[in-house]
Amino acid sequence: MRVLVLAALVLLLSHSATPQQETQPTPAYRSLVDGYRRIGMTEIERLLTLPGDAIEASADAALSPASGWTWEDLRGAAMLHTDAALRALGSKDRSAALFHLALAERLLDRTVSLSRPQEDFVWRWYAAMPQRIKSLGGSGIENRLDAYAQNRWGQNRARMLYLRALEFEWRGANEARVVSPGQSMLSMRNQAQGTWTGAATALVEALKEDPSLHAAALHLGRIRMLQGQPLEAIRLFRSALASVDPAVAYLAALFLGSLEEREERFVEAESLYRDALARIPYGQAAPLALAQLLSRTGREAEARGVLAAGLLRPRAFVVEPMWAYGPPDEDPATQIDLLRMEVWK
Amino acid sequence: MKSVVAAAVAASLMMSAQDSRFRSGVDAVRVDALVVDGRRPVAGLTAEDFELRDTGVLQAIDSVALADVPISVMVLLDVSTSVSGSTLDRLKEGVGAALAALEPRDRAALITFSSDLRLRADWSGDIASVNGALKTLQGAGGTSLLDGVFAGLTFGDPTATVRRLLLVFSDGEDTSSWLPHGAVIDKARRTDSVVYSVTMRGSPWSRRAGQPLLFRSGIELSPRDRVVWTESPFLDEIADATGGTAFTTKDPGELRGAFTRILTEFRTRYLITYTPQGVDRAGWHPIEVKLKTSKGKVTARRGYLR
Repeated sequence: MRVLVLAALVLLLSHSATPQQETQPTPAYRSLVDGYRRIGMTEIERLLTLPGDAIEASADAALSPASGWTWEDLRGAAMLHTDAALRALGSKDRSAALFHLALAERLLDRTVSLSRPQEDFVWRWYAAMPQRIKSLGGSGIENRLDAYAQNRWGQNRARMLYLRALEFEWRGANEARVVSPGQSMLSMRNQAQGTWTGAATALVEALKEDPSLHAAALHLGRIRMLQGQPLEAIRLFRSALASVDPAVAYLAALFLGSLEEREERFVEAESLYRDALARIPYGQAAPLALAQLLSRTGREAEARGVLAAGLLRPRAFVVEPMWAYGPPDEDPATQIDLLRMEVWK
Repeated sequence: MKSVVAAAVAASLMMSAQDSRFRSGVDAVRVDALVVDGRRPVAGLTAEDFELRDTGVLQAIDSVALADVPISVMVLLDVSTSVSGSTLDRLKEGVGAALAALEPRDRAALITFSSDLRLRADWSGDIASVNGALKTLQGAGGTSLLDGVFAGLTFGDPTATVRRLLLVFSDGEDTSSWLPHGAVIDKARRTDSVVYSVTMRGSPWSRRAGQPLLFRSGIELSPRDRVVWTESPFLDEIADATGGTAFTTKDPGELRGAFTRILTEFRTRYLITYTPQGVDRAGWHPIEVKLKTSKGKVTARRGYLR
């Protein structure tokens, strides 16, 4: 009888525990991911204190189709593990860093399988992480990520052309030299014309290959704006507004707004600046652009209010996409800030 | 019905006519003016001593105040990568000395800029809290000088009865602002803040021929933005537009002297108030301030934009 009761108990426990472990992450893990997505930075430290096998079991469960986790949940978890990996690298814990990186990669993979447009997010993650890891002393780890990215996107001509164009465009900004007082923007543009032409050619080709590569449209739009072709710039910026990358749509709205403002179409400009601000409330350029326009049109109190509500709040969090406008390895920390911001609720 | 419409039209015409003219008390213009004889401030002047023209039209001065108006100092500091180590230490010391010279009724706030802008201390009469924030500063990042000056001018003390001083320190030219040069100069022309600046020259970060422009937004909001390097540096230009003074030094050890001198000089300025008469309300109003009789040179803002 005793044996029978024991066997029944074991059976009961295994029935109640096994499906739970296989299909659902622990409530603690779920709570960490949800907390992190609500801008909870303490969740990173808390994750690092949990036992590795418990974390892995929960991540495995989250990856299972039966878990019901959405791509937003999975992407949030991926960024939580990304931050844990970076934090571990910062404290020289290489094995913890590798552990969390591997989980982040698996979660990102699953994100794309649930939502194809998230390929862009994952691509940006692989573009920014190697340099960031290197800067934190994780030398060697970045090679594996680089190799994976090369394998996954190396044959994607549109993205390769886009990256080449960024190098050209960046070089153009550095080649434009100050010559003398009174120098005009036009003469600066002329100095950079050669490299900008190279960048523009690559971007046109990239867009032919993949018209949905909105980041290429944004960069080509800015070059056309600098080359004095506002109509073409407007067309490109408008298409970039559709980007799934909020940083691309944010900058497209700001550049469009500036072109409207230059023509003194203030209502249209204001609407675009407000659109940018709604897309990235933590940006710096959008509140400045909007405040400048409000002030210019005599709405001084509103201008002050815009700065006071966001940018100039005590301990305000600011991440400006324009800081990461160059090639991905120029400012990987900002690139990662932008990725992190995307997963926030 | 016809008469109602006619009355409404007449009322609307009257209102638009009133809108294009200044209203006494509501549209008073304040002009902060420094009067010196050689390098010595001239004291004891009254409204009768000044002659003020707005758009060439002689104006009646409502009041002239010297020492009885509290001052609000917005301290705007460059904390980019190039401002670190002993320069930053001397900077903190210099600004601290200037803040110590404030009176109990004065107010201050602190904004820093590198690539990003940060409000370190909001407007307050508690100068110790501003000093506390000053001590925590560290240097890192690019230089958003134009964005910083715009923010400093826009985020002025909301208290109406103060004189506004924007005290700017930078050691280099802009590398990362969104806003173009002309937009910030226009902003300065719309405020009654006086800009005093201290620039550290001779650092390898200061603009010179052959230096790259680096990246900036590249936007142009007006034809003025088409010039990327004006004859005078930006801070000289903005100080001139607001009637302030631009100081330049190569030695961090001189920062303390420069900041305390600014505070001392600012206290000797006259606040002239008048309600414009005989001029249109909108647009750019050039201002000319002179002394009728006494000997002395007057420095005041070049005009204002409505």
